[in-house]
Amino acid sequence: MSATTFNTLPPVGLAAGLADAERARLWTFGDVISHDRGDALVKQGQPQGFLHVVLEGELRVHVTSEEALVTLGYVEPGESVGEMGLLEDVEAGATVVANSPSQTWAISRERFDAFVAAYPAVAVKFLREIAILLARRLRKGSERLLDSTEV
Amino acid sequence: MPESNSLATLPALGFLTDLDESARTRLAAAGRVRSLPLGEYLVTQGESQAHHLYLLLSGTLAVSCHAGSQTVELGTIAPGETVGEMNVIDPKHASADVVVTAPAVVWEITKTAFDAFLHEDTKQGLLVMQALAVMLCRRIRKSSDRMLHQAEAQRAYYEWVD
Repeated sequence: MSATTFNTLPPVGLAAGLADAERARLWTFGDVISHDRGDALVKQGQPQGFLHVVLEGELRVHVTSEEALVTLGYVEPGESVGEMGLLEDVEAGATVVANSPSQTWAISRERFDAFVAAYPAVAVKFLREIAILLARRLRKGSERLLDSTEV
Repeated sequence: MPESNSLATLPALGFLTDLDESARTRLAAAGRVRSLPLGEYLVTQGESQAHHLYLLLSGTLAVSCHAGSQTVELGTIAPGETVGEMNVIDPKHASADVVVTAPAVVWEITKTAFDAFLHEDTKQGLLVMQALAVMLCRRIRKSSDRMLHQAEAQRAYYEWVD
């Protein structure tokens, strides 16, 4: 089976609010990476310097502790991992592996900074989408915290 | 009734740290300053009528959320920190109560005025958006750590009960 060829960011997820030309510009700052099933894109505890947008395939997110490996969820085409790594020096809180042969569009923090400098107006829109995603994740976290205190 | 007035400019605090003075002056004019007495609620969990971003200039606020009879203290807000940043980015019902625990002065701006500021000055708007996104990252990390600690504490408790 041959992988699909992509030449721009699909208009979903973080890129949903961008115009065609804006997505095409952002696209050139990143690279398409192919992953075999089982390849690790992100390793828990390691610096997390890339944002990955899934183009094809499926990723699995898990955390490992001394005793257990816990799957936190799956990442499907159009979804992303590593948003926080574009904003700050962070250690990955979880491991992300390809659950099937996959392709992602990946952009490093350095390349993202170059994009911000070159196209600030597009970058504001994109950052806003990232902030919305983070806000939703934070709300979900607070709800879970509240749920877990109910005995 | 709380006093309200405007401020000539805003200090280079919190998410305004990297902004130039003219941008802070424009923001000051686009919002207003309020003094809040001890015990006053700045935000009430579940409310949705007003979408404001607040910057605490002095005093202290406490954040908590509740479900049924359970209340979880989420932390305190010190000068330079903000409240409502999620509300102006992604408007929803307020997810927590925010109450004044030491007489406070806050600067507030409506979502509409905030959006206008982001729109009219790309460079300064970008700095604001970056600072707010970084703040959200830090809050997520804090909340994940908290959840992890709680999970560990719970496990330790059950092991002990066994």
